[in-house]
Amino acid sequence: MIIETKNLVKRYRKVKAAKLFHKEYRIFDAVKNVSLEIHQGDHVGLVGLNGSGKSTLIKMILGILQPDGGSIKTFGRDPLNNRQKNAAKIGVVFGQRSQLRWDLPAIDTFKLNREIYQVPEDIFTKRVTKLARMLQATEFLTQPVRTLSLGQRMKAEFIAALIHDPELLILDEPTIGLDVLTKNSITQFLQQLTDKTIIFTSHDLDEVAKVCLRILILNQGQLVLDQSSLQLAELDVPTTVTFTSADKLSADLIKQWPNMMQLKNGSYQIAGIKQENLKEVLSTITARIPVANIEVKSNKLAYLLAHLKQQEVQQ
Amino acid sequence: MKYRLMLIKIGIKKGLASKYALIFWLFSSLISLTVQYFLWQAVLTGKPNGEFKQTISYLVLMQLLTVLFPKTSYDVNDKVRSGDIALDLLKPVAFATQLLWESIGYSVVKFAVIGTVDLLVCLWILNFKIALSTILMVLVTAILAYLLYFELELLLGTFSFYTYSIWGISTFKEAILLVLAGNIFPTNFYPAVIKKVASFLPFQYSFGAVGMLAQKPSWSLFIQVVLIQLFYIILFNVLFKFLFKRSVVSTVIQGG
Amino acid sequence: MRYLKLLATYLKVNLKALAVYDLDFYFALAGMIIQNLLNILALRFIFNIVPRIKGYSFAQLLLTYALATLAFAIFRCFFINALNISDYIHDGCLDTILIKPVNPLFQLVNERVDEDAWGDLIVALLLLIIVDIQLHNPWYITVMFIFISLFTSLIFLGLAVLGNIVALLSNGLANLAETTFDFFDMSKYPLAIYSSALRLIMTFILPIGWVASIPQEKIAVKHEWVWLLLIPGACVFFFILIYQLWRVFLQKYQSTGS
Repeated sequence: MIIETKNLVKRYRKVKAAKLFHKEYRIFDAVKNVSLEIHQGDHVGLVGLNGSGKSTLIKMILGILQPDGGSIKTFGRDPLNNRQKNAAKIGVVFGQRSQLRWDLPAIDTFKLNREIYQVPEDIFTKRVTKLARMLQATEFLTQPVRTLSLGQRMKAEFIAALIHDPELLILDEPTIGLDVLTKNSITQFLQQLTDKTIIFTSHDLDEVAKVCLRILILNQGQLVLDQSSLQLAELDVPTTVTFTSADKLSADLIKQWPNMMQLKNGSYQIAGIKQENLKEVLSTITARIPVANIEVKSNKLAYLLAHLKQQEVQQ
Repeated sequence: MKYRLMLIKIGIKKGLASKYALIFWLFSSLISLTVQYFLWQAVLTGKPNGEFKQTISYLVLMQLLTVLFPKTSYDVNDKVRSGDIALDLLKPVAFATQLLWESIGYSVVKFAVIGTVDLLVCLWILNFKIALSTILMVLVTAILAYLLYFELELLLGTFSFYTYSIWGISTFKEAILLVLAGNIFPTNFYPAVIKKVASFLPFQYSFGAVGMLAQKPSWSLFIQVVLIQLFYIILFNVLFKFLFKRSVVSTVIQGG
Repeated sequence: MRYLKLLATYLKVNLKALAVYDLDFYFALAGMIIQNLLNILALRFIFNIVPRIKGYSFAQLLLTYALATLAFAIFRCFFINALNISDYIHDGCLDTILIKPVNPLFQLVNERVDEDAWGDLIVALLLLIIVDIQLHNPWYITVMFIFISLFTSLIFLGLAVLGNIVALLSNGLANLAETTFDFFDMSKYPLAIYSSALRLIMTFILPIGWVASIPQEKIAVKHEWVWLLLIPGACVFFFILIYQLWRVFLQKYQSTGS
């Protein structure tokens, strides 16, 4: 067992109103009664909207934040008091914070991390070479970080976090602002790390599902879902299809889809299509209408959150 | 005219947003005044008390000017490094004008927090005896000194087109100010040669000259100081415009 | 041992980062050297007015100046990043430090070195040697002073950390740590010029007097060698005190997350 929490709670004090001499505070629970177990080799996706408590949970796992209730164990011990001991086994990538030295090539930060984590020289060289090859990063590791693109920088951040071959890899929104190509290559890279335990937080469910077999969804501090990503994939989430066409639609088509709307910008939208009907709808559109542009979307996370909330209310 | 008021307001808002920084500055300037107080007390023991009082009030005034004067070179440097300067260049108002009015706004806030305390200390040391004409002379020369210093900072800021940061050049500037401007060391006590050299160079006219007028006000000195200040302000302005144009044209602005 | 090796690596990386500033670095170096020379010149001007200040000759005052500058230059060259602790907390970068298996304060202090204090270091060392020769102090006194400066620089480190902690607890006064620079200004002169109340404060509360004035009096003037232990002891004691405060602060940070 890598991580085990029982009824974990974290409360914050937020300033409600600042008066001249004292401030009024409002207490709110960032993490509410979260119980979970993460085992060796799990690839866990931690999904939630902004402010759902993902980062707070991560910080408690890392031992940089003290819980207000419940218990947490990382590597079988209290993370707060064993922070530095645990740190040797953990690698972290923060999407919005950099551990790379801005004015130097990334390789210098790696060398620094080699000393910090006490990695022997020969192993270090082998590891960097291998990781750089996997991420196609070899050529830019010797350029100053400030000259790198965001995608290149993130790849370098991944290598920096893996220099000491950590057992547990924590990724806190690592793909924020990245282009599709970089996202894909990072996803592929993560899929190859089968021997590591990974916690991958994001607000993009689909992206996480590509890497993680298990999905946790946090909503307003509560763990509302803990399922395998295969199960989630089978979940019937209604899809929205939006398309534009230069021609007018024929009357019988309009009749066929009573819930079709024409948007203000002239494009057509059919919402709430069930998975079993999606294929048929798409083939009908492409067969009968000269489509200029078509978009298929299913916002699983929003649907799930709304859906799960209703369940709660029913309970 | 209206955009100037707007820029001043922006500067004031910036100042108010950093009110804690201002309190710190006040604290910091009080410590440094303490050191100077005791140092000059030790130096001037045995001399008439008037001389000590004059020296200290001069130093308080210099401190006030040092705090009030803008750090425009850093603003320019930040803008060049971040590439934001491109946005400022697109605006219909000259780059230097934007900076000037904004820093005036900021200085207003600085004056309100630190200036009042410094002035009170100054007046208290002088037993609140000061002639109206002196106030007028100090006020006029201080405003011109502000402009002169601003131009100096602008010139310094244009160096950021050529070097990675201007931290080093700035240190250089402070070193020169230290001996030639009289903002740390009273010009009165300079040896004759340096006094002579400093009187020709521009630096003294953003600091020491104002202090000299406060100590020994006379209309002839006032007119002399004002004329030299105006001369340097115009000279620097022309120089800046020339350099700035060249820098903008010849340098590719560093992108983000 | 591990920390020594780490220190060497940090130093290597930091010096490499300095090289990025090339032209500016040399400007800064020259600037600092000139600034020091001009400071000394200004001090000399004072002695045009009076021959002695509270019994101190020009050379003696220069010694105080050199000792303070040396200690402060060591602080700036190696510990300067302690001034930025509150920035690390405001932008959340403290977290990236806390997740590493090395003492956080050690990491913080070593993340950056100053670009322009190296000029100070050179001037202070040269000045110390020259003044000691002028004052006919034997060579071992110079060595003792260099040894002591390694410890007195800890006072500035302590003050910088203290300033940051107070700044963070007071929720704002972000620049408070910069007062370290003002304290340096205070340390440049003998305690004798200050009023007795200030002298007490500078000896027992904020130990600024220990930076230059006390070592000068006890070692260069009175040759009381026991102070070779007492002064480093006092510096280390002060630093440990501050370090405990830092740990309390870190605990608070971990419980509130801000």
